Amino acid sequence: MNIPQITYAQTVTAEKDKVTADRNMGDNAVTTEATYPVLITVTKEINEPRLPSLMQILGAANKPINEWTSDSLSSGLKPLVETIELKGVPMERKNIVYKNDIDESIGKLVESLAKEGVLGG
Amino acid sequence: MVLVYSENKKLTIEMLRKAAEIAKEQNKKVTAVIIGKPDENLAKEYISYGADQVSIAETSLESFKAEEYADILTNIVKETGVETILMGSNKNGKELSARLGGKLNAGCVVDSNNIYIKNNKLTAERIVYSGNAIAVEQFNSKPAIVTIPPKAFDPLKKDDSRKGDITKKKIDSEKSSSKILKVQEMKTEGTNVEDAEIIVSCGRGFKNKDDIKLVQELADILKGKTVGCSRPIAADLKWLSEDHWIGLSGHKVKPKLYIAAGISGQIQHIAGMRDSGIIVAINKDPEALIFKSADYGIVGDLYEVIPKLTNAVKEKMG
Repeated sequence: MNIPQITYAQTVTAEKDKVTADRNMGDNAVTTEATYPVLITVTKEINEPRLPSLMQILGAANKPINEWTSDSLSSGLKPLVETIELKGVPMERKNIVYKNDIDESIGKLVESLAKEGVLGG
Repeated sequence: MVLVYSENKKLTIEMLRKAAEIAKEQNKKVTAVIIGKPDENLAKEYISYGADQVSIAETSLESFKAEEYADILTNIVKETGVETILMGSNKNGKELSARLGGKLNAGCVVDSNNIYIKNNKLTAERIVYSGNAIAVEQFNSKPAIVTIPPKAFDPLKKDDSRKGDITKKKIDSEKSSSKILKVQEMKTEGTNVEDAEIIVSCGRGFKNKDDIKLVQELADILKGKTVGCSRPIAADLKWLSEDHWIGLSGHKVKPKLYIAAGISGQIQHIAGMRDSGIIVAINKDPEALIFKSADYGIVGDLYEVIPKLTNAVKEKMG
């Protein structure tokens, strides 16, 4: 739609003719401003959902729910990407677990790690 | 043509290897794209790592903006008939790939750790269901966009004798109606878990923030010196900064030794460290999931095990 986008928003401040958002970009925190219409994606930190009151829960039954079918929104959807297979993830590990005396376990573990050659040096 | 773009140089170099493989199979060329300041040295470096040509798109933009960058890449793709686009799977890259996909009406697979040609179609594998399965996806669209996370492929060996063309073009992209007001560096401790050879990680089994020094001590004794953590420590409790976070939503690592202390082993964490060489788990619950994904495990209280292990390793290493 060629409208601006703001992604990874942690806080969003909406004003009458613009919106400002703080974005968590990993290394940087970026503050971006955009006019409407705008597409914003938010992260988990955006809000804590509130608990509805009993009246709100009861009232929910009477609220309208709009339903669309995919046909009414678009004429013929063709996938650009198709999933052709779903594979399990191979995970092969030695699964040696030392359960008994801790001092003995640690001794054995350090021996094993030294043999594997992962103890640096 | 296969196009490679990321603002991250290391990631670009890693992707160039895969791009070169795919291009060879299809008898096509590899183009790396640089957006921003014209940096010819960088362009030459990309060529030495496998790019056949480098397009430099000179812009006056000061920092990354998905809207403008997507416009720039759209122009390059349309002008040059690109069929495959590889982009870095960092936050910028994912945002950019989605927008570019929309603009080009192209399919987009995010976070793919393996791509190849099968039945003449570009095929990409990616981890789904929180790390429980691998989906194999095939493209019906041209161009096809794939984003690649760090460390998925090893770079080619640098070869300064490789030759390639460098083209420069000034692009005045259309200004979008959003603007960046402020860029602030996030508070991190400068930890780079992705490059670490040995990682000691902590999880919810730790009772206090101060106790993390136990892990730090063990990490210091081992040569790795890098501390990682699972989601609760970085995202919920914020005891460590996010650069320590290992998991599906954090960093993906493959050190030669990974020690997980007080980490239960939720699949999301496993997804971040699955490719490690040797995995050691320390947990007081003998039924903890982490033991299923570990080579070696010790069942015991980490407050007793870690200091003893630290001493034992110290003795062993002299």
